[in-house]
Amino acid sequence: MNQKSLKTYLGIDIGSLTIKFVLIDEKAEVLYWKYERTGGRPVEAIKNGLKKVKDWIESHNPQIEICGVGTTGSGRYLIGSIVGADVIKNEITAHAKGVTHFVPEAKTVIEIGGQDSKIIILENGVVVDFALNYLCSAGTGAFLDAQAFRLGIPIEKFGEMALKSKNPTQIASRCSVFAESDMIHKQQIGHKIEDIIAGLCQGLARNYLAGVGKGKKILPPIVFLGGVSENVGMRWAFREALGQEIIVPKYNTVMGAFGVALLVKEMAPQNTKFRGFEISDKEIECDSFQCSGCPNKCEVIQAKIEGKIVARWGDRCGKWSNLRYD
Amino acid sequence: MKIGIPQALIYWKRPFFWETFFQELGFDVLLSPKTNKEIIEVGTKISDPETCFSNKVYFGHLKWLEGKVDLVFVPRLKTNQEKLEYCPKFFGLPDLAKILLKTKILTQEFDEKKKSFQQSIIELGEKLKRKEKETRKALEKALFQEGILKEKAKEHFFEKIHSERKKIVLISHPYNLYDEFTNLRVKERLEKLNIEPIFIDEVPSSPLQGQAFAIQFHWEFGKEMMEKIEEVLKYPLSGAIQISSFACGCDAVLKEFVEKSFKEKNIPFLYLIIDEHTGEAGFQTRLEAFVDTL
Repeated sequence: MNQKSLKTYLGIDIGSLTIKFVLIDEKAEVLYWKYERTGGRPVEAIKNGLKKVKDWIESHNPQIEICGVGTTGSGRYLIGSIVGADVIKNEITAHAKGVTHFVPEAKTVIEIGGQDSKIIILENGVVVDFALNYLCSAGTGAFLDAQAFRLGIPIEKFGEMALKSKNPTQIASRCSVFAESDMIHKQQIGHKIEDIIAGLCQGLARNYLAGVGKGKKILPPIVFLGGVSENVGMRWAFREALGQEIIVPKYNTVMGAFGVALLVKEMAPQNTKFRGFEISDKEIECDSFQCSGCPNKCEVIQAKIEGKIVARWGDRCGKWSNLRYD
Repeated sequence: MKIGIPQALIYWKRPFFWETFFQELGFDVLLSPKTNKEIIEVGTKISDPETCFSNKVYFGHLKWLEGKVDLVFVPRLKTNQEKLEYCPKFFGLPDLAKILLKTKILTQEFDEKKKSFQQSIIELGEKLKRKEKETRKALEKALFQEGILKEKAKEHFFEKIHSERKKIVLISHPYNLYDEFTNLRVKERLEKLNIEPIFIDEVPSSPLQGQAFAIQFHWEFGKEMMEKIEEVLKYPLSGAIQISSFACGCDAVLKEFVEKSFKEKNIPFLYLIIDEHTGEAGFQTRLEAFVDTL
């Protein structure tokens, strides 16, 4: 090992729509971060993402050495087995870890991502309660995306538009489908676009608090994270609805990746399982087959690197997923 | 003659009891297999969409038995010994079974507001052309078998409650606790996370102490569950997880009482809903995150 090498830890958060990378050093300083869309192709996204990390390292500080990798998010097992993760952690714990680094006194975390939303209740930096959205994704990033597209407004401008409103329109927002039809109706009877957008933000905040936040004591300091926290309209709507300041810390969109990077750093693996940046250039393939071992007929998915199986999952009994592939 | 018993829903209220009883009366017994994907698919297809998940599973088991036996046993459970009602969905099961299956249905009403359990059992014996003496003997055997099982459960409970690992009590109806397919192997998942899962129905409790309850219970399982919760709270617990079948009307009411009893003692509580669409990823995430909070 090079004497001058700089020890770093990589956190990867793969969600339904986006992938996040955070590279930190031993002092937990963020050296590099990236927030990108996966386009529904997680394997491609991880390959491209790792290539960018590698390019950045080569152009900025070739002394950087990756000493550990952690994955989180709904695709954590898939990506974890492909890159060779030392830590695979659920997104609740990862976010809580990240938040308490920046806002140690945080009591409530609102996180809204592409397809899910969550609330985390903290006491002295420890998660004491949490909830994830059930059966309904109204108010998540995917819905806002679709509405922005329908109105022909870039999603980045969506929030600013909302802030222009002086008289937000009431939008029925209990359900995405009804919210959309109500929005169309309100457009047709002549409401201003900015009023409709502002009303939508208010409706979504209400929906979140009534659904995910149901029965939870939302105490300040309140931290707002996830892709949707970039939307100033949603920040405003939560501030109005809760009557409290809403804190949007640095790295708000990549907090899960940051949190899991911190977790690997704390674990300090002796020898990282990281397969190296070479995997970006390798052929990675996922396919599936139906197991015929019993009437359950599980769809077993397998990930292959250069034709060699690295992991299998999707079986209920563990017959395939418990096999060792290294 | 062969009697079929669907291994779902009401079966789990008294496992081993019915098969022992019929075998002692000299019948062959066929249990439907453990729940699998096919059974759920069949059950979901033939059910009304508003039916709760557990009933859908039961219908799948009924269908599996069709044509494989001479009679399918579907009792009508109405009230128990304490004159408390069973889930209203149980009342209509024999009627629905008669519509769903070509195979003949063997049924018997158990309504202790009207008749004792023994009397009803003897009537059931008569339907199968067995003398009272024979039926009583079979009942005795079945109760004996059930007693052994309850003893085992008790031993199991004390073994687990003294475990070194963190203990989480799993609260649900027996048909969710013991059906690994519908509960997505929650027990195994927790064990992998180094947790000792304790099934609420293994908690020994005597029905007498229930008189101390402030709430008047309408449903038998509500009272039983709350009694057992009261008992289990005497031991050190790290957390509690309640699992409900999607669209279970009774649990919608019961859940509030269950949650309150744990929250009052500052014991972390997680509520999970299972149905035919339940994604394993979301389920696992919730369990992992919950275990991390303990």
